[in-house]
This record gives sequence, structure tokens and C-alpha cells, in this order.
Amino acid sequence: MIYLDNGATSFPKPRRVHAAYARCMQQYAANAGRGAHRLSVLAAEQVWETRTLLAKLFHIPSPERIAFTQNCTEAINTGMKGLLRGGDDIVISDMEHNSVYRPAMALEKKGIRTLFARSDEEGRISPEAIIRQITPRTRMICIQHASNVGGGINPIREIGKVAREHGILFMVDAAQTAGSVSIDVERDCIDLLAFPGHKGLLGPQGTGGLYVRKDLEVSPLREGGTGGASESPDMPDFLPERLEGGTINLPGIAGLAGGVQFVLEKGPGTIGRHEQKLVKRFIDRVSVFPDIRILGPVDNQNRAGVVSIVFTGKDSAEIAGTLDKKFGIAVRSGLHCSPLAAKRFGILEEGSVRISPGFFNTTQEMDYAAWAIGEILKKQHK
Amino acid sequence: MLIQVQSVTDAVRMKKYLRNRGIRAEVIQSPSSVRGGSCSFAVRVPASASSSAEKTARESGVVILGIMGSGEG
Repeated sequence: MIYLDNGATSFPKPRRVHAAYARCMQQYAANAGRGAHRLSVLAAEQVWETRTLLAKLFHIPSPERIAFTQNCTEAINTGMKGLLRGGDDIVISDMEHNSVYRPAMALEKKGIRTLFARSDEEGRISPEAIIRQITPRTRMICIQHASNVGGGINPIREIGKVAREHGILFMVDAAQTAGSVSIDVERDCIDLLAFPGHKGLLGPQGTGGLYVRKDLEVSPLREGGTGGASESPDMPDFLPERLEGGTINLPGIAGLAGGVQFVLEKGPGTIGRHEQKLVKRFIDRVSVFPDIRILGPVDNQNRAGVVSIVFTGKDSAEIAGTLDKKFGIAVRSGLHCSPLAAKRFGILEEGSVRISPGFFNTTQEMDYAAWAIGEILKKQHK
Repeated sequence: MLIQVQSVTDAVRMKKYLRNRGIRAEVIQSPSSVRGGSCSFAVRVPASASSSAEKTARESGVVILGIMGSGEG
């Protein structure tokens, strides 16, 4: 099987991820922070180690400002719902994943208005498009770093500066870029960074995190045990415990450390360039086929490791199914949980086939995938 | 000497900070005489290292709720 669905979840994982996960399960999978016996302390030390690695990757000065979550979606929900109040406005874009769109829509019912910045033809968001939606009530800008449909990378540093100049909170959804594009929360003026552990960071599913800038108080999405100050009816007022009610996913977090170590050793730039090279190779080969449309940026420098293809008059699910069954290629089809992006690209009916290579894919695999698509199209033309 | 901190995260941070500076330290659950009715964590340092440990701990940036047994050396 050739796996080209890394935009959903990266696979395979580096061996050290398996090893770290297994070592934890076999040797110290106790409950971090619930007691101080040696296994519990070992568990807590592993959690701190993973936080430290993540802080290094994202240039976060204080690792304790990273709270672990189940995934990027939970992190985004926490950031939005923990900070926005009735009467606030939030600016998102017309390209956002449901992980941003749905919580924003849920907050509309609580009197928080959503304004949509308009993307360009490539599906990218400019700082000017953001500025046009800012009102005196705008409290937060929440933007994806890169689209999971078009692959376009947004200029978060410039958007972050806009947010800072206007005194607006800036949350970045790094679902498609954490691990493959450089992110520096200080340089990029990021107040909240939501990231998954199971995509570009190469960790197991069930992991993710939210960075919260110093002095920013976020209400927790859930309350519960934190292992300390148990007599208090309230959640602690300090991070990360404030946002980590209940037992955390220790084996996942241990595995994630292996993934982040791998990313730090290779460098996000190296990983991102490899993925861009693969995507470019694939685009170069399929762009000659008739009746297809390639979504996203023309300039590969502005594209994450994602490319979506629309097959005119054809069902994307059927093509993805044929790639799987006949050619052994795993891709995703449909709207990719991003109806806004599908609407923006005008593909709500047919959807698209998304190819998202990862660090372990090769140019030969991209050539094979392109050839397979050519074969499918030839058969359908006969 | 016991260094009382606000969470297990801070206890692990403190332990690591002290150990990196050559001071033996271990994370413990605070005794009831220190914690009152609550669950809490502390870092225990041998009495022989208490004077240097206290200074080092205060440089760590970790919030310290209290230091017990300091200077008992």
C-alpha cells in the first residue's frame, strides 16, 4: 500500500515512536500526576519531556504554557470557547476546516459573531482580507496555517502582526503545518497555537496541544481531577493543569516525544521541502491530463504537502476507491471536513481527491500515483 | 528540605532544574503536615544540600509555595 493520506494522519511513524509508545506501555504507564510513586513520577517526567520538545520546536519560552489535548480540534475549541464571550466578534476565513468553523458557529448561538475573511483564487488569506473584517468588537482572529484542501500556506507572520497592532488575540490552526513548516510563536505573534500530534509531528492518534501565551487566561473546556489542590471546587488557575482535567494520554504523549525528536533532528524545513518536492512532481505529471483541475497555489513555495484534484464530471469517491482497490494507493476524497473550502473552490457537489504525501514517501511513489490516475482516466474515456 | 510547589508539573521541573545543577532531588507527595487537607507535590532535597538547593530553587523560575527544613544542614 502506498499511503498518501498524511493530511489526515501521518503513516508510517518513525520507529522511535513505536518504541517510545511500547516502552511506556510496558514499563511505566502509570497515571502522571496522581501520586508520587516512582512510576507516576516517571510518567510525569515523560510528559514534561514531551512538552519541552514541543516548546523547542515552536520556540515557546515556557513549556508549561502547552496543554495537551486529544487533537487539534479540542485545542481550537478550548482556545475559542475559553476566551470568547457574548458580544465578541471572531474573524475566521472562508477556507477553514470544520474544526474552526463548527465551534465558531456554535458560539454564534451565544452571541459571538463570526466574520469571514475572503480567500484569493488559490485559497490563501491575505492580511488585507483579515483587516477588512476587523470591527471594534473583534477579540480573536483564528486562521489555518495551511489549507487541508488547497494546501495554500497563509502568511501567519503578517496576519499575526495585524492582530498584534489591533490588540486582537491570534490563534493559529497548525493542523497541516506543525512539523513541516517553521513556526515561531514569538516571531509570528501567535497568542494561541493549536496543533495535532498525529499528523506532521508523527505521533500517535489521540494527541494534540494548545499553546497559550503568558498572562492569557483561558477557561477550561472541561473540569475534573488534576492531581493537586483537590480540596478546591475550582480548576487550578495555572497551566498546564488548568486545561488538562482528567487523565491524560500518557502512551500517546510518550510516542509523540519520539515524533517530535525526529522532526527536530530532520528539521521542519527539510521535511516540508521534501513534501513540496513530492507534490510538485505529482502536479507536473497529472497536470497534462484532460478534464482535471488542481486546487491551490500555482507557486509551490506557498503550498504545504497537500494537493487536491477535481475530476470534471466524475465522482471523487469513485476515483479514490479505484486508487485503493486497483492500485493500492490510499488517498482521501470528498469535502475533507472543509465545506467552506469546497464552496470557495466551487466543488461542493463533486468534492476532490486529496493527495498528501509525507516524509517517508518517494518520488517513485508519486510517479506511480500519477500514472494510476492516468490509467483511471484512460479507462473512463474509453 | 522540602520545596513545596503547586503541581506535579512544577515538581518535575524543579527536580530537573536541581539535578541539572548537581543537587539530588526527588518528587514526593507532600506530607499532611505541609499540605493541609489537599493533594500536593513537593521536591525533597537532602539536608546536606539544603542551603545551596534553596538558592538554586529560587532561581529556577518555578513557583515555590514554601520551603520547609531550610538551613537545617
